[in-house]
Amino acid sequence: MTGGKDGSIMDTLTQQDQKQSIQRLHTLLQGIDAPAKSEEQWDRLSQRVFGTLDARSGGAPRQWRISFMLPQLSVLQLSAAASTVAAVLLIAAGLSLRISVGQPLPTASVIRSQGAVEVSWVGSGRADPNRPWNCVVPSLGISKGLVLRTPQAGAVTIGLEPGTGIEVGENSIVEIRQVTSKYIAVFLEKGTVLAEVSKRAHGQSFRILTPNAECRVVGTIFKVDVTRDSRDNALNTTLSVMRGEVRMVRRAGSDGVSVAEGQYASVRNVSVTAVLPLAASEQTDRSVQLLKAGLAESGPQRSSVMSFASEPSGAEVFVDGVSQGATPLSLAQTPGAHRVSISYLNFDPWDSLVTVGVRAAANIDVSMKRCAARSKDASSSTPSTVRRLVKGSVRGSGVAALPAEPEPAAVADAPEFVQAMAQIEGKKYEEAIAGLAELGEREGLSVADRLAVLGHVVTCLRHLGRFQQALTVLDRMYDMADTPVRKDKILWETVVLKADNLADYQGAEMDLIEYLVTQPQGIWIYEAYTKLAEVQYLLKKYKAAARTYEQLIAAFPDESDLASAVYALAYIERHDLDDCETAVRWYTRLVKDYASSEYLEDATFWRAECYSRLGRVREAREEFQKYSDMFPTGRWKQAVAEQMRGR
Amino acid sequence: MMESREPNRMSLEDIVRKCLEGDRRGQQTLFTHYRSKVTNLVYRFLGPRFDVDEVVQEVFVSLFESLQGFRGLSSLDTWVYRLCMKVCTDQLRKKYRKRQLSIVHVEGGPEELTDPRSPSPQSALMERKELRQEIFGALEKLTVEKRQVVVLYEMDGKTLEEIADIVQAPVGTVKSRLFHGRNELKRHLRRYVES
Repeated sequence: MTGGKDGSIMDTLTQQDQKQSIQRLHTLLQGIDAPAKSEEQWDRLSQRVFGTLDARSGGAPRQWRISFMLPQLSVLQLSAAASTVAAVLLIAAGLSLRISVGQPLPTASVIRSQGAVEVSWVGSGRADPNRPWNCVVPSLGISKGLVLRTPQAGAVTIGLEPGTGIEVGENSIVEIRQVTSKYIAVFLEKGTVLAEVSKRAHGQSFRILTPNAECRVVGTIFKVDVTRDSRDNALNTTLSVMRGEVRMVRRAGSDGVSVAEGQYASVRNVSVTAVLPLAASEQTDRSVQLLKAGLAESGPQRSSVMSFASEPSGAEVFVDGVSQGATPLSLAQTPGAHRVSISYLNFDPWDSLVTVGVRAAANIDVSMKRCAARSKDASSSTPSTVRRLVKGSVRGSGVAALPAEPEPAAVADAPEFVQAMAQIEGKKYEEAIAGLAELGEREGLSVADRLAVLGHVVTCLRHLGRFQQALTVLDRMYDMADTPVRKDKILWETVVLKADNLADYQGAEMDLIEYLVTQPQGIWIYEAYTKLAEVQYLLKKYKAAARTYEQLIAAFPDESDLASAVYALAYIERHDLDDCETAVRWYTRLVKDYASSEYLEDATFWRAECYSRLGRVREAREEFQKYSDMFPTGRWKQAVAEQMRGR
Repeated sequence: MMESREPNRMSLEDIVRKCLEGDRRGQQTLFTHYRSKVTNLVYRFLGPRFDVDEVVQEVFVSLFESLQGFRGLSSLDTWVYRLCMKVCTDQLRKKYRKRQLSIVHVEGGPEELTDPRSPSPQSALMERKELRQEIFGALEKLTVEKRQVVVLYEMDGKTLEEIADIVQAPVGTVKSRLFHGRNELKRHLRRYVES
């Protein structure tokens, strides 16, 4: 009987255990969701689905082709839309629509215009010399039939779709011949177009047409120049390819040449010249950087406009520390506060925090003052070479993160101070704090003295793990600090403490943004970008982290440590944003520009893996093979061998 | 939002009819309605080692291509889930995909991105990642049939009857698969499930 009773209790307990363990299992499994997607990612997936459907069925359903354009807002676009519909109806009445062009791209718009760029619309009267011209404004929607004209020293950047856009150089005229999800065609009448084009899916096409040539794109960065020879008036189209491969054909025939990365070729009148190696150009590199930076942030989030003018014109404009071009300049911009600096050689720089509202415009017109022969105030800006040296000396310095500054003479000689230093040396932090606190309260100390004393108190508190107290002292020091350099150091210390010791990532993010905005020339600016990206990553703000890394890369193109930022950016694009196309671009940059970095092996492998995920089998195989050749005993050799066997 | 709203019988019929006529807006509506459900189901069933978007794309393409085969004998939900399960199972059987698996997770996570001086902030994140890996590792050890039932019941909240309809098996069989699937999972995830 007893045994039976025990058995029943045991059974009950076992059943309870079972129930609890099933409940725990249920809770564990319930937490598994696919990574969240943004609307943009859903759109991309939807395009993939319907693109595949169209490719299999031989074209999009009829209703789709003539639907899209009317929701656009501007008068110009409405007229363009009306005309497009009319054009489609005309064609439909007389002929049949010969090509399936896909849906118009509602996000295509002007991102940046420099100088007095003008826009017109050809409608049916392409040859009309008297057609009206209007001023281009950022956010202007781009549709079929628009013509853009740039002046001397002018330029306009157009975002067409994510990762794809063009920059029209000075003295150029371009006409948008087609701008849809399937077919983008830009006619370059004269001048220069620099294009960045993301990988085209099956059935998608991107072309730059000129009067005598046509450049068909697969996915690349390239530049097309149209000029006339002053001696014999011969028409020249020159194609320069910075990345990828572009096919150039004569418009008078179908023959042509393939121009690979680092090469250029020309069509002179009707004959194609040889393909030649391309010389490096700083100007082109800079334009590519600007175009890439513009495309990285194009889209509906840039709903506001900032316009810059200066006297004299031609001054360089920096927004949030990134060079945007020369005045007069207009930019589509994200709403919010932006640190704007305008500088011109031999003139005092202008610097201010400018806030622009949602769908609002900010006009900044600066009359610059010529600077007198001035002694450079070390507290207002620090030469970049010095910044590098300072950074180099403090990186990885552990707890004592406040950069060394000569101790003020008055306090350094005080016996209490000498004693406190000895106590710190002997790791007697509590005693040191007591002595320093007493010293810090003494009347008659200068700000520098008081800050030096409190700085050592912070060091002691960090050693003791009393981070919250250290933060309080730092707040007090920040209020007390009387120069930007001192504020810079204290703010940075606060950020590091919050992020590394208190895991207060949200607070650290806010402080870092404040640091980047208020200390654009700060000693820690490089570290601040890096730390901000890391903190944003930990907060799962993957897009923001990627954008911060991009800003860092654009702001410090010569920084020797940049390889780690490029690798981290590629990692986020591939792993967290699931954007293998972009990841490939960054891995390629890493492999190309930082071939001696420690990341070369991983970058080579992950680029191959991205190709594989993108279904680009040939490139994946080549890359895996390259990895095997370069790293025969590498950490991924097993995985590469499996990949090679599996294909 | 379209996703969170259950379309009523009429509107669903309308949508299906529009899709059958090749109306892209109808297809877009159906895509929007099912995109999250399908993505979550694919992710839960196959895990992060597969290219989830690629599989989801395949599911939707199959869905639109075979929609004329939907006769309304079961609910559209059931039909979509069944199709999704079929595509996922096909994917699982393509063994070469599995080989890529061991690569993806070895790289680690955010620890590569952060300052080596501050290892502590990532630990919680790493624990979550590790747990997720273990869960998917355990699910992979189940047979396809058991995994289907466990995913649909425990993760997707379907009833036994609904699952029976989706996997086209008797309710008793579903119950049995669930029982054994759970037990195997508990064994593999012992350190998390036992108190």
